[in-house]
Amino acid sequence: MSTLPSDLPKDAGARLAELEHGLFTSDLSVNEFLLVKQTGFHPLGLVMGSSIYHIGLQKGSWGSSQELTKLTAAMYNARELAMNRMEEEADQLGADGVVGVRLDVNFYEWGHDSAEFIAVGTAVKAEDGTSYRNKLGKPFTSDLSGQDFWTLAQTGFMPQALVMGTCVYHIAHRTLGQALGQLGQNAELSNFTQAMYDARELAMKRMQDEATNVGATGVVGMRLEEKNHQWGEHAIEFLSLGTAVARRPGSENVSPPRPTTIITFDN
Amino acid sequence: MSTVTAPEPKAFDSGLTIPDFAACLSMGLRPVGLVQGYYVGQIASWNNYSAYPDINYPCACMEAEIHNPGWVGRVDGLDSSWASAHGTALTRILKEAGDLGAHGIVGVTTEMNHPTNENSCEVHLYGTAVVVEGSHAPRIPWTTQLAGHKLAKLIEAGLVPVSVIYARCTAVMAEGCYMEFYGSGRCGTGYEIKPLQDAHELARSGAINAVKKVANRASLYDVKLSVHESERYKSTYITCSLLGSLVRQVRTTLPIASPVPTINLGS
Amino acid sequence: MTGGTAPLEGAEHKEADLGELGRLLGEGQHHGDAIAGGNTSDLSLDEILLLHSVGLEPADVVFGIGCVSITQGAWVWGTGEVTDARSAFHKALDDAKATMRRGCRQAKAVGVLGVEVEIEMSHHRCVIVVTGTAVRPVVDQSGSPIFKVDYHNNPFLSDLSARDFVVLSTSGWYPLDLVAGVCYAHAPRRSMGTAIGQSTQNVELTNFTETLYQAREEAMEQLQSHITAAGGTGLVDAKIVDRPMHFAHHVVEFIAYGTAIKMLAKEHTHPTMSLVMPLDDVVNKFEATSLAG
Repeated sequence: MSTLPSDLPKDAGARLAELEHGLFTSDLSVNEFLLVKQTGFHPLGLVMGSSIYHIGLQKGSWGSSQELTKLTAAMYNARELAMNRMEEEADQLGADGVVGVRLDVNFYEWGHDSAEFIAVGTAVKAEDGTSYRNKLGKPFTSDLSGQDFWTLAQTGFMPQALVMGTCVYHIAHRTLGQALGQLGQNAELSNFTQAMYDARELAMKRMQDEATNVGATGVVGMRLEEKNHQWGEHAIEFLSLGTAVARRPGSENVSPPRPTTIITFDN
Repeated sequence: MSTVTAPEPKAFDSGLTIPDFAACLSMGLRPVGLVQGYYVGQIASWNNYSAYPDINYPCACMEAEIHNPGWVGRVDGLDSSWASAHGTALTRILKEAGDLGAHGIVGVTTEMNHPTNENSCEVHLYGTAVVVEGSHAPRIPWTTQLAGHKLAKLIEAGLVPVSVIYARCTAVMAEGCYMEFYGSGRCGTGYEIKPLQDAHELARSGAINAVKKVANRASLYDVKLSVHESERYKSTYITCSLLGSLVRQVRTTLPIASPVPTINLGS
Repeated sequence: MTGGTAPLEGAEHKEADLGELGRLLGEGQHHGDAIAGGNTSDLSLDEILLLHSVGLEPADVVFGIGCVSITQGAWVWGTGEVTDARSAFHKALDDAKATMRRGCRQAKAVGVLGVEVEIEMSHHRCVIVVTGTAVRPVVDQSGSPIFKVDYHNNPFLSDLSARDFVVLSTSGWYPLDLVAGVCYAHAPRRSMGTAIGQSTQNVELTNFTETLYQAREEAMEQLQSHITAAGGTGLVDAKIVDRPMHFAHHVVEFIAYGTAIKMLAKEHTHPTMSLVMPLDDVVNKFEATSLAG
């Protein structure tokens, strides 16, 4: 067993060592478990990464819409730390990848201006011994469910990494002049529209950059989440998450099976 | 495919969905009307202690209960009033169905709640009365919450519906049941709090046994148990209500072919 | 509890003969003609049919309750783990499981499916209630059970639904026991204010991270050792609860529980799979309240 990276607590070492000897844990449902086996992978164990992060204060200026770069960096770093620890645990197990990754944020009463970021997933390994790690040599991560993982594999593509892009954007307040000028009319709130556009674009672009870095040819299952940023007013956080995929070499001629259409009588 | 007889010129109403309606007709069950049974009543307030146990209070639902401190046992007064409320509603729906000449009621839905406050109860049963073509009416119509193809499956499995059933059992843990010692943690960690445990078990097994007593070799399935804890005058009352269906096995269940697992691409 | 979404394709659907149907429905009203003894279950019809296809039938609803005390002052803000809570949890779970197994043996059942676990942790006690349906083997004409797995009079407990059990057992895996790992950890005492000052820096709070991390790893280790103790090789469908305690905000609760399973067949059998695309839209069920004006 290789020495544990210094980042993980010592208890993780003992637990992961047990998992290397054939015991497995997973939070896959029974359906997902069977589908992961069907794809030719065996679950190794639950892997987790977490980080409690304090976010520095940053206020945006009243009149202009701008990205709050410090907050963006904070949200990004915090999630990265959690995800990296999870990947390290998977690496420790000799896994080919992690499926069903969940990213959660917990806020605690005793933690002012800080939050805990947690990444949990199930590490899996190919049963035939071929390596499915990504171009960087690290286990792939994906938030695909077991069913999506199987369906993706039928097309000849495999996940490479869970990619994300974040942008925390401050939206300018409307000036009094603007407000009075549009009194009683249907009017677009152009400040907001522009800000939302910019913020979304930034988040998605960062996600795509990550995908390119890992050598992927595309992103599937992308979703854009928009949250009122937890601390700070007039700030919105955009989080863009997706699974970067690339075709397995030698699978150019694989064609996915055609589904049968049915009408069910269950209600 | 059996010939479907067109309904008689007299109009009928039914609460069946379209697939259920089609399935019922193809099974030879002809809907005759939507029936319901309804009861709303009050439960007179009941005392925890009574120094004069033989005084008759002016409401038939109420029973005075005397508890010695440290006593765990069943409480009958409240249970019988709820049970009789359900029974009355059931009798009424059966009478409506009987008046229409129906053989049974399918798709029965049960709603029970407190319309105004804790001391009132409301029971509402409704379903579709059906006539079995080519058969004679039983003495009491059978009732089932299933309809359509689910009912067909039930019958193919060799089961026939008998009735929907409700049971309720309340157990009380009177004050002073060592709770000052065990319940407050003064005893330390790891002691079984037997009185609370016994009260919980009594409530649950009471409800299940109440049904078994009247079941008479019928089987109970699709049981929904809900447990509710409340406190009155320092005594803890644990109530377990049970809703289920009675069915009778009249033919051995024939084995079904193993179902084919499928992956649903539709959602 | 309703089953999964696998439609019963491939099952032969015989048209019910009208006369036969009428006779059967009429028969239901005569007392004393049931051919099998009564049984009780909280399974849906689909699940009962699926169980029959592997040779099991529902026997009874069984439950178990464990109430264990927690000493005073256990939740006061300290350091490390609230060990009292952990030991109370495990004792309550063991008591509840033991009661459930007793009920199982009385019903001559081989195990319990669809177990629902209700956990209530409060200041002075931990109450765990487990409810499920005990299943017993169906006996064929010669009197031998169709379900061939022998649990040696140690009934299995699992929170898998009957549907999941059937699917898993067809692939060769069987459930053994319900296992849990739990940890209640105090957040570090040093106040956040003094740790950061008026800082506007983004920084990871390493001692907080490490405390919670360690707590979770310990809980997972407990879970793993319980799986091995039950004789299992794996765990599926772990349920994870991870949040601050509602009555003691400085304590973070982490519970992971699920069913320990073991491969009893020689090797994993893959089910033959087909892709379907349903063309139905959701049908709205009739509601009587829509009659109100």
